[in-house]
Amino acid sequence: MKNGKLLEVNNLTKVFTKGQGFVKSTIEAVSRVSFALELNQPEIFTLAGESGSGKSTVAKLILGFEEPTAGGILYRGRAVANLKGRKEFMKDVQPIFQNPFETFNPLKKVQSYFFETERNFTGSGHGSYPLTDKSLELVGLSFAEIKDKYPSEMSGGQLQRASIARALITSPSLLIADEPVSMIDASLRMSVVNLFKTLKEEEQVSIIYITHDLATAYYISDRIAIMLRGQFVELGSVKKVLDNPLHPYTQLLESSVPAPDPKARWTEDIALSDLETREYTRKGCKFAGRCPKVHEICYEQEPEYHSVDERLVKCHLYAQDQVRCSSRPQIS
Amino acid sequence: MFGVIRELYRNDKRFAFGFTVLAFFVIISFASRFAPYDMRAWNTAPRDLRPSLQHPLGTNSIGQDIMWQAMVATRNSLLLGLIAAAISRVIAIVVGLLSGYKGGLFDRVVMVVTDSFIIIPLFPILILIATILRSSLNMVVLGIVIGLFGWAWDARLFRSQILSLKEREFTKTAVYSGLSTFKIVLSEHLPYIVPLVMATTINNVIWVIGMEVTLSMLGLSNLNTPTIGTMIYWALQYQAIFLEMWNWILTPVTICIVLVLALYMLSTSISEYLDPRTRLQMIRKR
Amino acid sequence: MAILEVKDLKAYYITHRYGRTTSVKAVDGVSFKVEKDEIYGIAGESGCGKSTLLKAISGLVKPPLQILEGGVTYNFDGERLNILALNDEKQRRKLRGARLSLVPQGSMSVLNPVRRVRKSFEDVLYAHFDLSEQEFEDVVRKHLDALGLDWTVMHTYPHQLSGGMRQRITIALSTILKPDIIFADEPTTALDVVVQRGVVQLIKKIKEEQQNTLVLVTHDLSIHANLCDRLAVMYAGKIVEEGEVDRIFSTPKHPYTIMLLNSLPKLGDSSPRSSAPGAPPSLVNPPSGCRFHPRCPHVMERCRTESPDLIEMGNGHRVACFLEEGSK
Repeated sequence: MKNGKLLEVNNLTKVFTKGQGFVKSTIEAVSRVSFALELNQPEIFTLAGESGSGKSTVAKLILGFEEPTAGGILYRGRAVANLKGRKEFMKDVQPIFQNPFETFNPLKKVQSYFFETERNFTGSGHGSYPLTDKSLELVGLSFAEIKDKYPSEMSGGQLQRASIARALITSPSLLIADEPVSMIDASLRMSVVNLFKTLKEEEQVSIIYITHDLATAYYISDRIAIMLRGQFVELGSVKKVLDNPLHPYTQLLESSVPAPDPKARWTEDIALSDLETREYTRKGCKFAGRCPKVHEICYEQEPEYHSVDERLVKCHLYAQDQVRCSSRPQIS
Repeated sequence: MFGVIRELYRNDKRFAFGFTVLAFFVIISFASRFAPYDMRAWNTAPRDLRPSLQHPLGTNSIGQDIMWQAMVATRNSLLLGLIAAAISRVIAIVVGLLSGYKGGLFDRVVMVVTDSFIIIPLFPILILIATILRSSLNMVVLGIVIGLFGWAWDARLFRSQILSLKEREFTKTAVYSGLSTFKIVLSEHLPYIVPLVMATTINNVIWVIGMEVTLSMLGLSNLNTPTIGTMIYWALQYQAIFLEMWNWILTPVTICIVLVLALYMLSTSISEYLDPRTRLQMIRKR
Repeated sequence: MAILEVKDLKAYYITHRYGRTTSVKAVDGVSFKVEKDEIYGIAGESGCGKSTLLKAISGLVKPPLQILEGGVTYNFDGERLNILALNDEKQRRKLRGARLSLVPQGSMSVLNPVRRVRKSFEDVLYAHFDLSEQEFEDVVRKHLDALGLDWTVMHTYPHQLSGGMRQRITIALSTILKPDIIFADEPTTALDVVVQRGVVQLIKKIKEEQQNTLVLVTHDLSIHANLCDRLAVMYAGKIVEEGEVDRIFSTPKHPYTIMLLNSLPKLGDSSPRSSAPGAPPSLVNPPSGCRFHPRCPHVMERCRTESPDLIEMGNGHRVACFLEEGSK
């Protein structure tokens, strides 16, 4: 049964247990996350959130490095469970990792990964590597720049672009980029971010862009999902969500992004969470501990997803006179 | 390979010392084949002679030429060390790698077994085995026995290295470059394991030599075969210290100390050279 | 009145290994002054030498870092001290914590993981003063209250707290002795945006309470914009521009500063931005002449051979660029 979606994530849940025997604690790192990317409609979909929000875990689940505790992932209509038998999937979905210096083995030449990818997934790669040259060109590198080089001989920006080039060799339809620019110097970030934009517009590649940097997210994404402690709290087009945030957490995030402008200094003080695990295990709304608009019900009951102004918001504030959805959100 | 040795020799004094001394001992070991006497026999030469041209280190109270004795002893000790180290390396690598990669229940069971081997007090067991096998205990058997007990600690070391390597991002990149698990182990992880193996091998040899000397000094091995340990044993039996026969007692002791020191120097300089961080620095300077 | 004066400081990392000597010219001729009670920022990307600069001026100089030349003079209440001349480790230790405090990079890992937070505070306080337990509690409680931190963190182990919380505790720890000058090395890097805001809030609070001087080193220009009074931009071991923060953001003069500011995305603004071409140079073999010349869009012949000095442009704004020499 073929579905018309490129990627469909349904109620994805991942629970981690720490400890053994009598002393166990569980953390629901990802909690009923659902979203979908359309086929033949390349878009940049951002998963935004702070550390501990579960966004990297979602990436690992989609890529197959972790197994979901519940829920499912459908790629082009077919279920992808674990890493076995994923060759076709791997050809079409490629990862880009956060630390360019860890992406490649420091003791191996960078080019070896290119050659392997070309040889294992495409017809070429025996003697000549035309696809390697082509994808390097796409990211603005020449083969001479990486020839016989080890990762430590290249800069962070170059390496990250090489990492993207490697991912493009198989002509994937989807790239999963986990914090791709957070380890690159501020002045070099734009070149990678602009590259993503070009890839979507000219090469028809969809990108799941995972970041905590809302400024770059605003700059290139189409849609954005804000994550808090494993749950989506707001989901919609990036301009709507960030120009006019509805969920109090999104509002907090958006106002906390420091602007490179001395005239735009913060004026209000905020409250901070202290113990890491407290928010995870909270009954009711996870943000209740520090929400400036908190009500009684927020401590008791977990809010549902409400459709407001072309986005989904998981907050009790929007419960009255809004259309109540089922717990499985549909994206309008 | 030779370029590496030459570079290390020139730049690292420890390596120079260790390599030279070890080479010296290896040459001696080969030369010991030409011993004019059967080193197991007694009274092949006049007793208690002072060093002279015919017997450069003199002779001992059981009528053996000390110099040739020492050479054969060195050969036997080195051989023992190599056999035991080789056996324990192989076991350690197989156990450590398999356990690290498989994980789960297999890993847990294997680790329990490994831990037992670590905790077992080796020395009493060796004494027990040596006492039981006393007569048939030649160098090879001793080597095998020591080897069978010397793998546990390093197996754990290799396993933890594998565990951390599995989590590193480049392993994931390799997976998405289409490499099979076997190829990943070979091309991504082995470069990190090999330095560990080399460093632990040399350390293992040192430990084995020390074990043998201890056992022999207590009279628990085949005392007819000349090794460093048995030389010390006989010297002590004949009161060499009290009788101030320095050439007899000091020869094996000095050899032992110098050999262990040299091996230790080699071990540290090689492992520093092979340490991935050092190699990274070297790469950056190209 | 300047509380800190750095003159012509040169600090290199010199290593000898396998017959090769490499010197990393991390700080190559840096001079600046920090006035009392101001927040002075040092901005620059990774590999520009700012962390080394901080180590050198706080006296944390251990091999392979060596001070080749230059002076670092402090002015505490009229008493002038050249910290580099203090060879006695005991004297330096007396300064640390009491007069001068360094919040190092990655300081959330600074707390001893096997001891409760309270122990770390005890270590610091008892090293400098003789206090009874009640006095200790009073002092610490007062300090934590002023900073908006809860007393209960005293009984926790570091791993029970979030990264942001640990960072704030480390900052509280380094300011409990009310030092005259605080050096913070990347205090907000690797922190989430909300936590970052909390840390900035905390730093502002401390400054209000204790009236100390703060030298802040970070690559994040937005943090500088939010906190600092004056700012210095470093590139490849040298300061290329320095001035009041408003002035630098509104009228940057050095091509590197301009490039840097242009490459920063702003929330709410999706107009196209471009990043700086090329990459920061290696400090082992920096480019000849002006170190920025390989990436500069306005490069002239002169830039390849001569290195520009910092010129005063008026109002405390200094720039090291030959372009400005003409327009003085």
